[in-house]
Amino acid sequence: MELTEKKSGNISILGLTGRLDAYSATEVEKKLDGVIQSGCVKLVLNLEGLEYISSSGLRVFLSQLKKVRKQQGDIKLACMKPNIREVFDIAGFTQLFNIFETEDAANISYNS
Amino acid sequence: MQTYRAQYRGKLTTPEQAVSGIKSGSTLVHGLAAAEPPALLQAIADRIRAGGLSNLSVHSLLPTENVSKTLLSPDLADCVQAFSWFVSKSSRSAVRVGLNYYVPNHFHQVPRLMRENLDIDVTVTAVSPMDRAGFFSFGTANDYTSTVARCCKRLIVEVNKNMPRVFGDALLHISEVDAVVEHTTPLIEFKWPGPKSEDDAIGKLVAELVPDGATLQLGFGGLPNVIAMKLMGHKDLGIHTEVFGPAMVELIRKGVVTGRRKNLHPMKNVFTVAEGTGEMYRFMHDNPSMESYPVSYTNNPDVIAMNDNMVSINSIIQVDLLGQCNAESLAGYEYSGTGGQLDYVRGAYNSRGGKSILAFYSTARKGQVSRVVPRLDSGAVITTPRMDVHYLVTEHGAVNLKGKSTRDRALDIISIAHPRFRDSLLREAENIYLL
Repeated sequence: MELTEKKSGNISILGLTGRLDAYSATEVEKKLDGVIQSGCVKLVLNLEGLEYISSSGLRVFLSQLKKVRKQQGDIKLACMKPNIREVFDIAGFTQLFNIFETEDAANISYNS
Repeated sequence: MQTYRAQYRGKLTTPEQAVSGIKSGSTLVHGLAAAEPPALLQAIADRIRAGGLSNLSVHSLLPTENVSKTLLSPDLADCVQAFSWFVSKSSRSAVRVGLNYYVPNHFHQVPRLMRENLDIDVTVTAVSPMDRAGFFSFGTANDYTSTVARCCKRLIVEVNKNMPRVFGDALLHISEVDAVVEHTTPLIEFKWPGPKSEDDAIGKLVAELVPDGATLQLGFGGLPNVIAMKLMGHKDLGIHTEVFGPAMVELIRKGVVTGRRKNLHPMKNVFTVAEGTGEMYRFMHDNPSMESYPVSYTNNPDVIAMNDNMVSINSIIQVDLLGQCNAESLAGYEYSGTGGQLDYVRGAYNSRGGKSILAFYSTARKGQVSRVVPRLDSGAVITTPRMDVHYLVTEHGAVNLKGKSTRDRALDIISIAHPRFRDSLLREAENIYLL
């Protein structure tokens, strides 16, 4: 799992590439924890490079979503591959997250 | 009476208060299907959402809407470890993506498996109102619920006036209960798809295999219910079943089921779970012919075999040319569960004059796919092994596989496939040297 981070104003944009599974879920959780603890609660996850997500990955996304929403923040998801979108659909997670076709659309939605 | 009423009043509380003592990391088992207690499940879900409870292990069997709307809701997936002992519409998607784990089992072993392998902190279930002797009834869900109610650390019951009071070994005393809440709401009703064009033929073929005086087990789902309607011309049938369903009520009311010729529990309709309509639940209430027992008894193959002419009727998804039956997986994923199928397949065959019947439509997907296949799909699960299969029935015929060679089995199975697929199945049978 490769993680990248950039900022756009007060929004943190993280790129996830590879497999988000039981092995990499802890690493991703720590990264998200770090970002949130630094005071940034507006996140965009660019999932263009995400090839697989397991139940561990889904749980990490959900628990982090709850943390930021308690602080009036959000985690917006962008650029999902169809197989990842299918997992989100099956799990019922598409109703929990705000999902966008592009990273820009996710960023702009914070201002709308 | 006063003593029991006083105990009841002392234990009566609100759903919120009743679940307030549940700790993070607890293991919870809830009543099955219509016995899922909505108010208690909602109160637990509310606690989780408020941040007061996490890492809760929840065990369900055939979860339905009261638990799917609460503890199995997607937004709680990070706080609830969910386990399904039989997968249902409510848990199938979560099982498919690893957010809910199937627990393989024979239904008759579930009470023991839960007692010996789970350290159960809390059991919650719906029960009927307490009687003057201080007893509630487990009503529609005796199964494993009556066992886990007695081996958990805390038992909370939700009294629902719509839960039928049934007989048999189905009672729970107020002294055994830790907390009581009252919440009367209609019980969940189960409805099946309307009849298919193949049903008439399958029903007639199955009915021909059922002798007068037989004791019946009918599986869960649409086809077994349709088959029951084809038995209206029979005499003195009996019921010893896992799931009691609406079609059985019709058979009883019409005098087809009398139970007179049962060796075990004559004149009684024996079951462990009831899944049906409000009308069916009302029929069951305070009806002395309705006897419920733990599934470790009703589904014990040795007990099943005690009735002569026991006939079990269940359905499958797919059968291969060896006679291996898959009743629980679809496209490599767990679709339902083993349930009590093999319990009854074995018990019925061991009964004197008994028969086990596995009925299925010969095709799926509007006739495009044969359910008779040369080999089971990759990842498919064998629910009933070939050694156990007795009768197979489709709309094209009925065959008895017992004592037959692999060659004769393959030919028999192909003979009940849809005619459009028979040539290719014969070629495949030759290719794998079954013929």
